[in-house]
Order: sequence, then C-alpha cells, then structure tokens
Amino acid sequence: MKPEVPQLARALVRLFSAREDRPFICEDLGERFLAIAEESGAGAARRWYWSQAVRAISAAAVPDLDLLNRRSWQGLIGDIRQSLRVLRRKPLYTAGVTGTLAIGLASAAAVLSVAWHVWLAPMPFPDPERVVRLLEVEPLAAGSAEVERTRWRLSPPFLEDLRAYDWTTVSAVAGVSRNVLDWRREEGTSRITALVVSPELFEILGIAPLFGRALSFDEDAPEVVLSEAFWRRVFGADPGVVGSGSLMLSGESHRIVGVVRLPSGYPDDAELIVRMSFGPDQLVLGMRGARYIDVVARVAPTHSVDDATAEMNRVVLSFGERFAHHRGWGGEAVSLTEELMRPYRGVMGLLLAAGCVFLLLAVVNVAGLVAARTVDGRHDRGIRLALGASERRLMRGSLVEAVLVGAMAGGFALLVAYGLLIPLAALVPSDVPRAGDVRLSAGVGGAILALALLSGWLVGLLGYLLSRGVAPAIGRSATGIGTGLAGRSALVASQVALTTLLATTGAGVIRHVVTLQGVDLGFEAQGVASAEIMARGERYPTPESRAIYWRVLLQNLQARGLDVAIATSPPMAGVNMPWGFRIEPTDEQRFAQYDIVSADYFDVMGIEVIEGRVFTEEDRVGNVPVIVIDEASSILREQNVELERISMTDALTSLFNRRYVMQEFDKEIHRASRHERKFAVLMMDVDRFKQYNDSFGHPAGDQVLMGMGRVVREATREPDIPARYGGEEFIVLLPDCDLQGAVDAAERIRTRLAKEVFDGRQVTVSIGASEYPTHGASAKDLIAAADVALYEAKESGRDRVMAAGQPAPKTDAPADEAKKESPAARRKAAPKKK
Amino acid sequence: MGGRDYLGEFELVVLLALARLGDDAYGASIHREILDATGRDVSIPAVYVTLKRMERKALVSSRVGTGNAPGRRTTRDYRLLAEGEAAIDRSRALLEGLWQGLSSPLAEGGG
Repeated sequence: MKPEVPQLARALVRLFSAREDRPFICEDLGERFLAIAEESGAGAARRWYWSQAVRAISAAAVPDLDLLNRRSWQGLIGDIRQSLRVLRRKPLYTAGVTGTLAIGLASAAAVLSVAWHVWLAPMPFPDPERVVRLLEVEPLAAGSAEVERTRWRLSPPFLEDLRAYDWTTVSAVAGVSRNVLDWRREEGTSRITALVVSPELFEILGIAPLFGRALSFDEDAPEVVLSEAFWRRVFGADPGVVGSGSLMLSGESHRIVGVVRLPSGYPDDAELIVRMSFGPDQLVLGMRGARYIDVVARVAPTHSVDDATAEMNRVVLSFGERFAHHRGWGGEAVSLTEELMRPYRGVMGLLLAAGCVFLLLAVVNVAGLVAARTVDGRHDRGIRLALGASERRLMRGSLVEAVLVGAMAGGFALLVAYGLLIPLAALVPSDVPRAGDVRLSAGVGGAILALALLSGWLVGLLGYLLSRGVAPAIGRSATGIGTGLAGRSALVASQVALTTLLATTGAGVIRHVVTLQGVDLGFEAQGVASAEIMARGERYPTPESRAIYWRVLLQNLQARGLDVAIATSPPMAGVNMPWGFRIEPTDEQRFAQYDIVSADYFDVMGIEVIEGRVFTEEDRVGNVPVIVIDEASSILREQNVELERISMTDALTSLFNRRYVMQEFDKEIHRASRHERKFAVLMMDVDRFKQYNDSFGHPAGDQVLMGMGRVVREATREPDIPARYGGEEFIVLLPDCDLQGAVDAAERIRTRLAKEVFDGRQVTVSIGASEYPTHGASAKDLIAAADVALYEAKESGRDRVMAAGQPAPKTDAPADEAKKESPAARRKAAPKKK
Repeated sequence: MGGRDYLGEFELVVLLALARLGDDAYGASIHREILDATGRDVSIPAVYVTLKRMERKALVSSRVGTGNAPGRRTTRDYRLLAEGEAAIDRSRALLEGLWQGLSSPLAEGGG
C-alpha cells in the first residue's frame, strides 16, 4: 500500500510556507517522502516529513535557529529537578498558573479541533487539490465589474457535453445530485435518499468499493451501490448481497453491484448511489438554461487547476458559438476544497483568532503571576547571583520552570478539551461540511502539547523580562512586593488590550445578530411554518395527476382553516433553481432564480405586490402563462429599454398596460392644464365576453381580445395611448382631442370590430367617452365619467358609443342583465385581495 | 548584486546543487542532490526561501514547468543564471584565498 504523508505535518508545512510556493513545496515533500519510504520504510519517511514540517515552522518563526548555543542544554536535567522542587514547594501557586494556562490551552484545543476537522484537514480523497468543480460564469452585464459575475452550476445537456468532450487538462467529469427515491419491499414502501451521480465520480473522488464494484457506464442497466451504513443496517453486512441482490427503487429493479464508504465532507451523506442519466426531455435545448447540477472533475496530473480553468473557459466559449444559452458565458474550474470551505473561512478564521486571543490572555496572566513570584523570590535570586550563577543561567531556570508548567497545563487542557468538544461539536451547524468529524484527534492533541510548551516558554520569557528590573537583594528589603516590577504597566496594558479585543469581537457578533433580526425579509415571517412534501413519482407519474394531487392537498388543508400555499423554493429554504430565458425579440441570454407557487402564495406569505397583480385561479394550464417578477431582481435592476417596454405592455394584446396608461394619465392632465387644452378618454368593454368565454373557451376568448387589440391600435392615431385596462376592458387616452373627436374614434373602433370574424363568430363592443376638463380634472373622475357612459351604452342595447353627459336613449335590453355586465359594477363586486 | 556581497553557506550549497542538476532542478531534486552529495538533509521549505532570495538577487531564475518530476506533475523549476555562476566562482576564490597556507584537513593535520 502507498504510504500516506502525515496530514497534520502537511498542513503545518502549508501554513508556514509562502503562498505561491505552497503547492510545489507540498508536492516536492510528497515526492521525497515516497522515495524515502521506499528506501527506509514508511516510519522513517513519516519522521522525515515531520522534521521537515518542524523546520518549516522554525524557518518561519526563528530564522537563526542554528545560532542557538547547543552547549546551553548542559545542566538542563539539573534545572528540571530544581524547578520541580520549587513547584512542589508552592502547590497553590503551581495550581494557579497551571490551571489558568490549562483553560487557555483547552479553549485553543477545542477551537483547533473544530478548525482542523472542518477547515484545514485535506478532503478525504486522493490529491484533493486536483478535484475541481466546473462552473459557468454569467455574461458580464453592461457597466458592472468583472468580480460581480455570478458563477453557476451546469445544466443537464451541458454536463453530458462535457462528459463526452475530449479534454486535455481533465481526466474525468461527473455530475452529482441527490434525489429521494421510493424504495419498495415486502414491508411496504419507504423513502430513501440517494446520490445520483455520473459513474466517473468514483474515479474522481477515488472511492474504492469495499465490496463489488462501482457503477458501470451501461445506461440500460439499473444499478445501485450501497453505502456501508445502509448495507450494515438493512443487509446485516452480508457480502453475498452484492452481485446477486437487488432493490426496487422508484418502480425499477436495481441490481446491487457494490458497497462503498462515502468520503466525509463531499458529497453529502446518502444511503445509496445510483447512476445519473437523463431522459430526452431533460436534454432538449431549453434545458441548457437549467443550471442546477453540481459538476466535479479531476485535473490530470500533467496539468494545473489554472490549465483546467483555461480549458473550461475555452469549452464554454466554443459552445457559446453554437448555443444562445452559452453565448457570452465563461467557464471556470475551482478547487472543490476551497469551494466547500469558502462560506466558512471567515467564521473559522474568527474562531481561531478568538482561541488565540484567549490563549494569549492566559499566557499574559500567568506571566504576571510568574513575575510576581520572581519578585517575591528575589532573595533567593540574590543568593544565587552572589554564588556566581550567571544571568543567563537564571533565565534558563525560569524558562525551564515555565515550560514544565506549560507541559502540565497542556495535559490538563487535553482532558478539559475532550469534555469541552462534545458540546462545541453540537454547536457547529450540521450543514457545515464534515461537522460530524469534529473530535480531538492525535494530531490536534500533539499540536496542543507543542503549543503548551511554547506558551510555557513564552510565559517564562515574559515573566523573566518583567522581573529583570528588580534589584537582587540579600537580606530583608524595605520596599514592598511588586513595586519594582519593571514591566508592570506593560503587563496591565496588554491584558486590557486583549480583553478589549475579546469584548469588541463579542459585541460585533451580537450586533450582527441584532442586524440580522432587523433585516426586511420581504415577507411576514411571523407564524409561517413550512413542511416539505413530495408527490410520489410512483403513484403520480404524470404532470396532470400531480397537479390533481397538489390541488386536493391544498383544498384539504384549507378546509382545516389553514392559510396554505405551495411553493417549490420558499424563502430561506436554500433551494437554488436558476432558469435561463430570453426577452424577445433580442437574443440576449438572461437567467433568474424561479419559484413555482400556488395562487394564494403571496397572500399567505404577506408578500407585498408593488405593481400589477399576482396569480389568480384563472392562471392555469391552457391560459397565457404569467410570471411575477421580484422587484430586486436583476431584471428590473438593469432598467434597459427592453424591460421598460415589457413593463408597459400587455402581453396578450401588445397594447399598453394599465400601469402605463395610469402613469401617462397624470402626465397628460399636467400637460393639458398647462396648455389649456382638452384631451379625451375612451372606456371600452367587449359585449357579452364572459358568455363567449364560457361557451367557446379561454383560447377563443383570447383570440377576441387579441383582435380587439389589433382593431384599437389600427383605429387610433399615433399619439393616442390605447391600453388593456383589465379583462375585456380597454381604455384609450386621446391627447389634443375633444369629445366629438373621441366619439369619432370610438365609432371607428366599433365598426371595425363588428367586421372582424373569429372562427366564424362576431363580437361587438360598447364604448363610453369623457373629456378633460369637462367631465373631471383627475384620472379617477375622467375614467368614472367614461365608465358611466359605457354603462349607459350597455344599458341601451350594447354595440354603441356613448359620450359622457349625454342622456341615455331608451333601451329595449332588460336593465338587470345590462347591470350584471357593467364593468363598474363588476369591479366593485370583484373580491379584493388582502 | 555588487561585488561586496558573498554567498551564505546555505546559499552556496543550493547554488552548487543547481549547477550539478542543470535542467532538472526543482525542490525535490535539489533535496535529493544535496542529500546524496553531502549526506545533509536540508529543509525543502528553507530551500525555497533561499531560492526566492537568490531570485530577487538575480542569481537564479524560476518558471513553472512540467518537466522531469515523477508523474509529470507541475514543478517550480530553477536555473542558475550567469550572475549566480559568477557568485559561486567568487565564493570559491574567497575560500581558496583563505585556505592558502593552511594544512587540510585542519582537525587532524593541524592538531
């Protein structure tokens, strides 16, 4: 078996070597390590590696190690004996300094354990630095900086392209995803989490099956690889099940081909591994925008990660020439370790720093105690100096004593840390990679002992320096204890500084928490509960059956008096579903996170509607698809002309929308009042539209509305503003036009529409007209006046134009029916959204 | 570098190793060369620190290459520059100058 380099030593080398040389140093050490292991055995190689690590540290910390006088180690044993005697003689002092230092060291040990296992330890696969995540980088938006480009995962069709691509820098590419599968057996069906991966993943992460083999590349053979935990739990660790057994997963029998132990940290834990394969519907052109698959690759030994990034970028660019979905996009290969740790690097750094500060505080405190004792013991010191001991010798004595204290403290600290780690590990959020690995390992223990000796040494040095100014005295001294302490003010200052640092860090954390609580979430979080529900693919195989399932579920829950809504990615659920799209007629590629929700979602979540409307029950399959846009989304932020057009256009009729016409209304009133001009308003309503819709269906109704849009546009002048007001109601704003001109325009619309034929059917329209300033000085009054005229036109038999202020002619149509159709009445009767 | 500077002992060792290795000089091979020639197990990180210092003094140059390492992995390859060769010669001249008139080895012959 290939010997493994000691990971802690490797991490130390990384930590203490210059950034730009780090990978080379590690690989050079690795190469020599293997050579030495071959010549002199793995043990010798490991010792060699550690010696290299220690020298890397000393090269960084003490540049002139060679200058240390070796002869000064003579008499060390004597010093140790002397120190032990002193410490034994003063048990209270010994307990005090050891205890204080131990607390500092224990906290450092706990923090280091977390930081090591979560952050610093290399990922548990061979050459982790060669495992990269492949990403697509979004096109650079106009005016934004390069750093703002978002990096996305890859879409199913693109993953398949990359797997088939003839790479030079990368040896294998694999997709990784997770799914919950139905697992049917005799006892019943249960749900089970599976990793869904390309077979290359085994090679990339170096996952060697404990039994059997990895997934094959045969797309037609349903296979499953069991996790070790699942295999033990369900099959009682029976090796016979591999090769002969099978599992019924999501209605298909999967042959068990192997058992693996999944590496911790990546990918997420799962019970089973199945092959990732896509149906034709997932490989269509439109799916190229669905960038949701995590794709990893292994960089070939002959190339670097930078080479892989360059090649990935070239690949994406070449696909951009063929597919609009990739146009303008770039590519990247990023170290998976860095990717996974990126969100936690700051926190871990802070944690480490806090641990260090805490330890330093302990060191300074203990140094103070040691210095005070030295002052106390200057009688002894005076005697020793008088007996011919050199200053150097005395310093060594105090160093040895302190290092001994450090060693004892280190031992205690490990015991305390062992107890401390269990609660601390529970505090690490479980979505942090490798949170479950946190423990006090031998490596960390060794590092803590080394740190203990170092702190002891530091204590001794500090204590000695602080007490050096004290005059040696033989006999009784007149001055009190501590008055001659040279570094006393420095000591106090450093303690205050460290404590302040700790306190401000704490305060900063608290402030962040408070700020977070004050953040506007965009919805009313109070009383919102969520549950994750899935429609079983086995029982509801078609989209129609699933739609029924959701509708019934919603109704049942509503019947219980709950305000319920369904969403695929509710806020803070961490669901990431980007979708690529184009804003026609440009071919500019855009993308957005999207969420599919039930009609009541906005209401239930208390999400405020800023413009337009939210979904209604009318927005169902077969009708015009609609979307609601987040105000903060990049789409609105860009404010380009295309969006301006969309935001003021009605999608169905291509006329202006209500929002736009209401804006223009204000401008028009302003303009007309300043120039003392008139303008007119037409309100129009397609006659008996509801009946038409009910009889011939929504698509037929939409045809009528589109026809109406065309007619209105053709029958009005360039400066007029025709818009869809809502439903089958239309409005036209006619600048510089009086009531008579408006009535003429209305007549043109009415007669043209009457000539239109829709699938052999004809429709009519009733129109009301009003005039500024005759019938009102505000948009509200003018619309109301035109609405009243429209109502009168309906009442007097429809298919006609009425001007405001005109007496209603006699009608032969029954008044109550007309009333039912009055837009004003209907608007009043329409249920208002909360 | 001006004529007044002489190489440190470790610098000289590393430069001589570069001279011996020619085109095959990178961290691991330098370590192996010094170990084989002198029995001295130098610290690879220290070798890098020294090389970087000497690169700043334009005694050596480096580039990232995929040359001779096992597995054709990427290495940082070092090369001796003319200034580095001159520095070796100066060191040698200095030592030989001081050596004149002394018996060798001192420990046995000089007694």
